[in-house]
Amino acid sequence: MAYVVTEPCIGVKDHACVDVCPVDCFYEGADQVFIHPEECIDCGACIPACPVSAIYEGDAVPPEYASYVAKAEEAFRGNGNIPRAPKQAQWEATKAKV
Amino acid sequence: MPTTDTVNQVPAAVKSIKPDTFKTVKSTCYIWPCPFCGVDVKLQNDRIVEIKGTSDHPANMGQICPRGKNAAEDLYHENRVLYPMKRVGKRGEGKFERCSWDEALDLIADGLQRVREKYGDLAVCGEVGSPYRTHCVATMLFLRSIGSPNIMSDLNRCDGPNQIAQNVTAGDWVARYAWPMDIDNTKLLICWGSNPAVSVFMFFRQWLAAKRKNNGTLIAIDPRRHKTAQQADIYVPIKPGTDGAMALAMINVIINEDLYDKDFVEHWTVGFAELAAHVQRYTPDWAAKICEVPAQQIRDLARLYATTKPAILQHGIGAQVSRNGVQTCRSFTILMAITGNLDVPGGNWIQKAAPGFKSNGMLFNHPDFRLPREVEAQQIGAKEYPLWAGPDSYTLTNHNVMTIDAMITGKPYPIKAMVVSGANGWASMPEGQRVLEGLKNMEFVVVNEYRMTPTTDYADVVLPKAHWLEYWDIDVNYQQNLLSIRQPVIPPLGEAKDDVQIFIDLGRRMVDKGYIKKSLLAWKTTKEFCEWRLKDTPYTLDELVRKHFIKFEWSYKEYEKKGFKTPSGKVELYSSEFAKHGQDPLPIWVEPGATPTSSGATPAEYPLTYLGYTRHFMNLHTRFVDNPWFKKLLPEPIAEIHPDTAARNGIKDGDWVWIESIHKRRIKLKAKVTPDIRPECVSGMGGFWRPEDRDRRRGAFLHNSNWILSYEAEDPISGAARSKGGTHCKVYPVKDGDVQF
Repeated sequence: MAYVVTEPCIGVKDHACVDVCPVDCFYEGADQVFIHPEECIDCGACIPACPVSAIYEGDAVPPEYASYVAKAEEAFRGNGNIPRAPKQAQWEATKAKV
Repeated sequence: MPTTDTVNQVPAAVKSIKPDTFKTVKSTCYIWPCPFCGVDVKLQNDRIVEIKGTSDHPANMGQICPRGKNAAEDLYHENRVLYPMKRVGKRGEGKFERCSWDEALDLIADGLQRVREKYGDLAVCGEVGSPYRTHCVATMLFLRSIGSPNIMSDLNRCDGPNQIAQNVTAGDWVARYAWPMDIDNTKLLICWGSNPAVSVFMFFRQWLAAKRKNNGTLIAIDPRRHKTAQQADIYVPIKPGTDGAMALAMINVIINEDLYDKDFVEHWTVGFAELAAHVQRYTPDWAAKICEVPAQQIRDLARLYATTKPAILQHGIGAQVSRNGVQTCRSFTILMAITGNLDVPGGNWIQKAAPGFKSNGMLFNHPDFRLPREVEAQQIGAKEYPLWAGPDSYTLTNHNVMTIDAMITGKPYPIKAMVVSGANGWASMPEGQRVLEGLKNMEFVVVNEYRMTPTTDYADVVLPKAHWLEYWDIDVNYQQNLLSIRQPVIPPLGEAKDDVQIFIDLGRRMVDKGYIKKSLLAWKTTKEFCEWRLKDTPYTLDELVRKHFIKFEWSYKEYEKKGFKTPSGKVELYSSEFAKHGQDPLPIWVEPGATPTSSGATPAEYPLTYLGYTRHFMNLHTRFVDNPWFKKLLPEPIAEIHPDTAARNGIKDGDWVWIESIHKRRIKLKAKVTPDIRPECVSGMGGFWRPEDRDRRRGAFLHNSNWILSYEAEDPISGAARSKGGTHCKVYPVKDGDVQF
């Protein structure tokens, strides 16, 4: 089942995962990036890319991060107004401007 | 005027002042077996830097899969063939020298002509992937121009047996997938021997979204608990090779419990009474013993399928390339029909056509492009498998096994020249070593390719094939009435050309030299060919480029107006066509012969069943094995082994193991010990090879299932072989110093 971004991402949002995702399934949340539960194909390419080891396979999320599965589902509920996450370089550029 | 030297002396700092240029070009992906998604290709200074899904394209609605996303990595790959090459060493030695297109065309025209004069037109044979793609149609039109109906394709290791079954039953090709406009209606999806979570991404992701919306149900039937099965509500670990038995038992339950669609059956089928009487012997209890699935579960599944509408039955390739292949697919099609799921929104719909557009399927069968009946009747396999090959067949392609025999033995007549486009038989066909033996006997071989492959080593001329991001084409999105443009996003690298252009040029050269009177590829350019294909539609090519895609009117239950394209105009539960050809007119299941599933004893030395074609995200037949993304994710080919089997054979997760088949050949794979496979089964990967290997076999035998499978015709109707596995095997650890042969 789909991969999930968990707590270590909070405040880090490195975006390296976005660059390696082959199906563009990362979305931009306020405090973390999210993996779309239906778009993710479980390839695992993002796991080694994440500098803070925040990404887990859905059924292997450690108990302390269990709430992040529901948080991801919640993020995509409704019409999914949440935007796709930009690539790392673009993200860095936006951050620099701010 | 500055010389080149002075230009080069401009300091780097000055050069960099020129701002980067960006643009985005819309096109359509070419990679099978997907819906041909719309893509936005972003270029920076005329180099492709990113490929994204087009947000409003009906096939993919902005999504993309790894095969499309990473396409530019294949295009710019360092090992790409960029120029025509001619052989300078011995055949098979792999020594080539760059030559001009002009010289290459002369060499090919003369080479093929020598073979024709010595052995006749039929001695020239083609080899392609799917015959329904543009490059294959081009190859076929060229071969027909020189008078040969002979062409090998991948159909007999793919959907070919199903095409016979669906055509004799429902008169057309029945979709096994649905796309966004339709799948939202689907309440139940059965993935039977199919793993779309890694093979048909777009379909599966759209289904997951629909499933959540509709509270839908997903059923997976497979010996492996693969990615799709892991997400299923019901998973049925069926014994491999027994799908036909279970399908017949489901028909039995649906008829006996009165769960069939009475209105449809009464008005739109023939042979229901015969079918009802015939399936009485196929009870759930009978099937339970064969399939190793509880009888109650078979009953429950049949009830669920017949009462949850609409439903899609999506069956894969494994069930159809076997002794029972065509008949099993007959049972599947009958299940769709009697439950009222044929051509309804959210069910298995029947392929549509874009009015006026000349699709590949039409070109392939068009009377203007056919050879005289008596010539087609000589296609290899036409006599033995008339529904597969020859003038009255549904695939119009050769029987591969018999063709390879002809290459080796010269019987029924010699095959002495090969025209190959994007195919690599000795890595992609079972017993590739026999293809190799055949290639050694050839007197002329031309191969259009992206990479040097084991096959190109046996070529006289290798031609550089253009990538799908480099040429003009129009796709009819998979079974929809939707036209989508494919255009040269960048000019072809080096001197690459697309197949249509290659065969236009080659045909003209043959005419100019007086070798043939006329070429069936009578256009000047590929672009002109595309314009011609649109001629009878209300649209021009320019318009299609502007719009990216054009959607035609969409209608369901077209049979209500036109009937089914069968002899009776109805769904033939009792097949008149099969009766005419002396085949069982009602679907049957027989023990598939010498396999571990047969009632005969399993040989003690080879107690396991080999499942040879597991998919992994990006691998597709022999393609993409050197794509950097794929290699990073799957550096080594994997064998899935159940923990009990692993323990019994002294194997640990991550060990290198040999899988040896009853044919006494073995391949080396990396063990993945997992409970997600039946204990008596071991899986491996088909088509895995290593383009970068210095050994000239390029790993085509070392890791590849095809090396240990046999390519023996088993299905009496299609002549298909057990080319995806189902062979007795054993597994043991690799020891230091072991060599394969």
